Amino acid sequence: MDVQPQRADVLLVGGGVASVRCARTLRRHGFTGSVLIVGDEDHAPYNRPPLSKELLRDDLADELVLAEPERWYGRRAVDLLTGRRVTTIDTDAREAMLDNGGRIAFGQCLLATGAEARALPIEGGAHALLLRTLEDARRLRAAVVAADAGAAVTVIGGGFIGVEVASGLAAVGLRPTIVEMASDLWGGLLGAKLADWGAAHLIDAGVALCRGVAVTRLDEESAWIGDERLPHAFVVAGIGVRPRVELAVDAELEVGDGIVTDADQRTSHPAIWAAGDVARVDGRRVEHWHAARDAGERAARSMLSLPVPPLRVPWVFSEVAGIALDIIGQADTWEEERWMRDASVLAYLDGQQVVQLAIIGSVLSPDTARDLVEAGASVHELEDALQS
Amino acid sequence: MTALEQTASGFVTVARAADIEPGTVRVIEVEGRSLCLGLTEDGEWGAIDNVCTHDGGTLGEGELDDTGVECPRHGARFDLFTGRVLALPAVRPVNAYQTVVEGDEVMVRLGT
Repeated sequence: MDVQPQRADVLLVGGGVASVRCARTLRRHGFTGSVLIVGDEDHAPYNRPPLSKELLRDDLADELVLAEPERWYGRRAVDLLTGRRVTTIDTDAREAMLDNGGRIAFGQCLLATGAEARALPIEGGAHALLLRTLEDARRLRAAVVAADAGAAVTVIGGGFIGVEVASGLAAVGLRPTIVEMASDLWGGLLGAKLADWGAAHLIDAGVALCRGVAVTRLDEESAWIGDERLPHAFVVAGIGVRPRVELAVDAELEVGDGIVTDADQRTSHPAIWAAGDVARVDGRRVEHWHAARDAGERAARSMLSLPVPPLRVPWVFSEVAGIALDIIGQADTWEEERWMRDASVLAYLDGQQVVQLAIIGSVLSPDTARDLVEAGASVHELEDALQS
Repeated sequence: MTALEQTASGFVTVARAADIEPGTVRVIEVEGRSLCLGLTEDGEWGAIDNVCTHDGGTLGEGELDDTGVECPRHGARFDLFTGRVLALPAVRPVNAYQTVVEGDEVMVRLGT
């Protein structure tokens, strides 16, 4: 079992990719102090994106999702304490208390406690499988394997998780139905054109869609939409996440929707940084994998007083019925959605300016797309990029 | 890079040893193929196909840590010496190529 140090020069609270990338970046820049990651799951830090995709479709080894291979921790002298939760942080003493009574003094601390899946707040809601952790993914895969070919499955929520899960269920021969409260997929947040595109491909793949309605209760064998009964083999809910801010609240850090940080990932306390799904960085909380990794790296640079590069626009990669979908940017508003390049790139335009892009089937490199959105490129510049 | 030089054993010179830093990978174009050539921190050379089998990311623009090459696009990892998948989202391996150094010349055997 891991040895518990009494002191860590850098304490990384949370066992996800933000913490690992922070540790990795510290070492890459020559930091020689002690680094400790404390995570409350029983696994070494892992990547979550495959949980709703590859791990649902196939039986794959746990090691394939690890954020870093096991021997990396020894090579980089990064201590890892799993299955332990930090319960409180004494910001004056710069000490963290563990759920087993242990204490860890730290010089600098990163809060990367992530987010947890929202439970379904309806009668019988506990019947729904959730999907956030590797254990959740294993339970879902077991339900998939146990179900008869062609069995019906209810998927509550038509966001990224719901769409990916339904896509995977259809790919392995089950019959999923997505129930989404909003009138469009992704809660309508990606606009009607992309939602229509996604709906068409899901339906082609054998996914049924119920939009603009809500599941009102669950029983052992079915979901109910009012008086209408949807029988199923099992039910999955993907209705969003809640940032795990309790430690920060107790420590009296500034918390809004997430732990508030500046663009350099610094919280309101000079020895504490925050990164990943739990952090509201420069006014925005982003729940995606690239953002968590970037944030961990940024926090490390900030801890080392190195220059921190400008924040990049959000990038989420998803899948719809086996087709890659990249969303670049996170615009709150736009005036027009315009399909380009044979309907493989959807430009979200504000006047002539590209404020967000949806890329289907990887026809444009995400790096190029990010550069365009960050530069405030015009639709003509986008056209040029698509032709080159 | 030096001019192409095919030896009797099937090895082709692809780079000068001094052109690459330990612990990094880079893209090498040779005989119509795109390779990811790497030198580990432990001083071992290896080469694999440059294109990620998951979504077409450029492995030679990724990071090398230990023997794993990480795709810069979605984080899939491949072993620099065997091409085996070390991390999702890739599920299919890439080709690996025998790599040797003679003097200052890094040579890769393209036939697999």
